[in-house]
Amino acid sequence: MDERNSQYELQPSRNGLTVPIINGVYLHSIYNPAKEAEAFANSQEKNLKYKNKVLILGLGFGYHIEEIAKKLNSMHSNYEIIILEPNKRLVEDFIAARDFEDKNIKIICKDKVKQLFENLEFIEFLMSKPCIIKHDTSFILEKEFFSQFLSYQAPQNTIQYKSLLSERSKELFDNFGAFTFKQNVQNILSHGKIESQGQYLIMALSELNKSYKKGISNE
Amino acid sequence: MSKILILNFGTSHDFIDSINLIAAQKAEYPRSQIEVMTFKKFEGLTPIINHVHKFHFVDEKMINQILENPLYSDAFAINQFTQDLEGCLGESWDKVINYANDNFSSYLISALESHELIGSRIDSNGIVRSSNQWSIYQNFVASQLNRQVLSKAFVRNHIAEIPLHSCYETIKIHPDYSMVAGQNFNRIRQMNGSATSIVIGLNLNNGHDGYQIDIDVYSDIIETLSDAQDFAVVLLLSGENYQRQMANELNKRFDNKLISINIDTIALPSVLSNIDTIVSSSNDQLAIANLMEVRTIELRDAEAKTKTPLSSFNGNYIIYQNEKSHMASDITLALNEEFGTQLPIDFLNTTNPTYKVVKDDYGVFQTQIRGDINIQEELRYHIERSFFLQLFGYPKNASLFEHIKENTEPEVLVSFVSHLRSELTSTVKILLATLRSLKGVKTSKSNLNSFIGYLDNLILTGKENTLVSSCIRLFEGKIENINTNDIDSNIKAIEDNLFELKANLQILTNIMSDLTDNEKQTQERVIQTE
Repeated sequence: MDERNSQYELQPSRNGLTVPIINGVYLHSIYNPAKEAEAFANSQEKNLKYKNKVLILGLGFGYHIEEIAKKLNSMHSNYEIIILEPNKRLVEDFIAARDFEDKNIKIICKDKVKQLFENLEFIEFLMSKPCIIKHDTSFILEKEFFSQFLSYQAPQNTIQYKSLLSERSKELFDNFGAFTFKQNVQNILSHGKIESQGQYLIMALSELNKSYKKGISNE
Repeated sequence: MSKILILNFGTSHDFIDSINLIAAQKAEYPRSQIEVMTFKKFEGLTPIINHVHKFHFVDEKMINQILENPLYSDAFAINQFTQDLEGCLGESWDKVINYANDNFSSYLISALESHELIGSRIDSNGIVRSSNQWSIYQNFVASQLNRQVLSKAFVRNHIAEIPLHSCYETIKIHPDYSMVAGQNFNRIRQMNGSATSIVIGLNLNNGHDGYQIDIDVYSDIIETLSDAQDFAVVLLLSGENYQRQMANELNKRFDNKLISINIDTIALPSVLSNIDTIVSSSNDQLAIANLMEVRTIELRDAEAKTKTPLSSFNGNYIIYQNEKSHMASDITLALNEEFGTQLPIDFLNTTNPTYKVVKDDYGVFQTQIRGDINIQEELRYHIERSFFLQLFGYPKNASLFEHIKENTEPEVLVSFVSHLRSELTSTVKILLATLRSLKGVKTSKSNLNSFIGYLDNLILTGKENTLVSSCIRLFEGKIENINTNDIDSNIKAIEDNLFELKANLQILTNIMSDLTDNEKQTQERVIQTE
């Protein structure tokens, strides 16, 4: 049995909107989810003013997200919202029942945090430093998943991330040992000899990083 | 058709400076195909550059953001890096030029397949190798100078063995923008009542050195020029908020009568080609104006760490700000000098050092024409320039030494020469001791360690900030560049360099003699022939 959804139902609220109830947790107000969503979006107004990219932790049934989107639309000429939701059944039910008309909203559904960080597009989105908003009830329900996400550290060992390297990268950097990138650089330096094109490129990349950090510290 | 790759991973100034080399390369070798690899952040500048077949970009920001953040796997940075380099790694080049001489390029150049590598590269032993003496100069001498005596562009063109001229078509001027700019500027000139009005562009962009021109300086200039029939003023902006605020404030002061021009990179050359003089801090617009041979008045902070201006075209001005209230007067003086006008000046005796770029048979240099002068520093600048040019095969600059003798207070000159002579004497003593020690090595290899000690002491004298030290650093660079495998060849190479150093110090001695009238001093030889 799917532990995540051991108790799962979709109930209509007092004003007819669907509210998921998972393992006893109501994902939205059973009285007026729309009003609750509006209040939620209002509480985020200050954060949304300066950021047009938003990462929302928890889909719920989308009401809070639509309100956030409305706010962003009024404040920015363009915006992007990505929702992280590990519960596949919830996502499927939502898409079947409602789905977002707004093309600026995207749902990412992975049940392992590691899978999120193997996606370059998602990484590029994170690098744009989006505003991160918790949907509280979703967060409580999937606390382990979201906590792991917020404290995630990528594997640094080259053997561990080899599967993420492109074919060309594997070709060029074929003599990477099971070390971190920085350790590989140290190994070349202590060996005292640069023996391949790949090693020259590792050293070049290391220098690129050093000068970038120096430039930042001079700003 | 030769394929040439230029690696340019320096500053935006380095990027703009390289435009001359590119044009010169194409002029000298019309059938060459030139490609450039640089940072993605310079992509915006590429539309105005002539003669480049293809640009390759490294997304430094993305690569480093990934490397620096523990959230992201280094794999993505490596993939991006590989992808960015792909266009160059798989090629066989006739020539690869390390233009900006940074460490990244020096490793990267060694990873590329090329018939010829120009500039610095790092060999398999991790040692820096220089392709010629100009490259050694760049690495060991110029890198330690606060104020460059030979411009970077001049040195880099010599490294690439391509002459630095000013007659190349360097910048692309977009024909549509050119037409519109021409029409607009005709109207601007006519607004003043004369089709021959002199148009002065005031650039509101901050300098790369952080220097920001005070709004009161511009306000004073505008006030002076508005009263003059001969001049029209335009404000140059590049879209930043702070520039708009400055323009708005200036317009408030001048009844909203000021003309502001918002220029992007593609339009910039068209606008600059219609301006008679641009007044600006040290930034990309000034660098491009300089390259296009538009008259520039470069404004800098006198407290700035480096004193090497961007302006390198004959006749351009550089003003260093000591006293803000004098700046407008200094700018006005430069305009009067340039255009033969008589604009009113508030302060004739300025404390702000003003320089003019002058061209001689050797290249360009800066000469101080006004303001507080550090005569010892100026003497060093001119003499060090002449000295190194002579070392690199240019004829002795006898006319300069005559000029210095005639126009410098005798006691100042004597003080300079005495100081230099004293440095030279102590360095020569160490050099002679080193040469004697080398004799010992030829007798027995057991004396090698002792010799290395003397050699290290000699090289240590290059750590100071003096003219003699610059000479020692060049020697050090040549020693580092020795690339032989056995001890005897190494020793021979070091010996040759020691004697070359001796000859170079003799040149310096001869320069001192040229600077002084005293016959006894002209006959005095600091270095005794062994």
